[in-house]
Amino acid sequence: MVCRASSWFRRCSAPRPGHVRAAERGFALPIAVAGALVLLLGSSSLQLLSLQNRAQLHRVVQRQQIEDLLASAAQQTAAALQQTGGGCLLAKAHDAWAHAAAECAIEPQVLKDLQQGQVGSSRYRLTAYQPDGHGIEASSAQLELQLLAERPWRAAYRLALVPSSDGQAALQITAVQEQGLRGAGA
Amino acid sequence: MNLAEVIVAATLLLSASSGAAQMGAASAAALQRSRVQAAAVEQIEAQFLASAPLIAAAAAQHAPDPGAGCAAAAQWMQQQLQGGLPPLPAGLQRQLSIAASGEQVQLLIAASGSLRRTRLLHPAAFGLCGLAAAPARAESDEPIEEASDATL
Repeated sequence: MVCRASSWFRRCSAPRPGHVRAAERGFALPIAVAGALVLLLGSSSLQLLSLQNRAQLHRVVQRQQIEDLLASAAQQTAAALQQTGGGCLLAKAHDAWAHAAAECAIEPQVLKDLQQGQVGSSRYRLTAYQPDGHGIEASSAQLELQLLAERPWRAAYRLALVPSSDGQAALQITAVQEQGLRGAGA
Repeated sequence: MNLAEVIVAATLLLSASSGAAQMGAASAAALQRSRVQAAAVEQIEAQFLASAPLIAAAAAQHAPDPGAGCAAAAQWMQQQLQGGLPPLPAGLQRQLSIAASGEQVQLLIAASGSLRRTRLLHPAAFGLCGLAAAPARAESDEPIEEASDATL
């Protein structure tokens, strides 16, 4: 006879043939299954956590390596801007470079080379340059570079400018400050 | 409850415990490795962050002669970085060399595994040279390598 408790009364019925009695079924197996599940779930969670940590660290390192590439490119570009035409282009916005090249005695090919380059095996291009003032009154300029890669990351830099120390009416770069990545859009 | 059930339950629990212990140990080790790597990532970043202010401060005190050219300025920068960068934490290796162009300093910091970062620093970007293009040098100088005595 098997009795089941309900909220108001107990119903008792005779066991059907083929059914194992509850008392005979035992509790060891359900408890073992539950325990095994808890153990496996716990260790799986720990493993998931470690995998997430690893993936996050990988993303951070990848991002830093992209920043390194673009920072190296910014140093090269700043140096090229300084060394080409006596820094004549430093005072002019990127849009005006094509017209200013003749004034600065810069060959078209040199101007083209100035706007692209390579760091290691990675190529990059200059996408924007904007001084904050006219002529040698500018005290800083915004430089933006973009990697020519599957993911075209862009980064911005601030060039600190001072009037040239050699007495010419030109600007001189004194520092290149990173302003961070600006996404990977075209 | 019979003997067969007890044996099956015990076997199941033992297998699950063993598997969970192995997975847990592997995960804990991986977490520890991640923590060590994250610390190394921060320490490398600190080295790179210190490099530009160090050159600017050194140049403010005693800048190299701008007329000497970018190659000489790059060597001056290499010396300043060599002497002025923060001490190398355990497990990291730093290499300062003149890049193949002869006018740039290459700062490479590596930790165990695949963690490795490189940056190029050009003296013209710090106002130390570049008003007139200097002739490029043929080959790089011997790199200066540093390594901490402990492993990561």
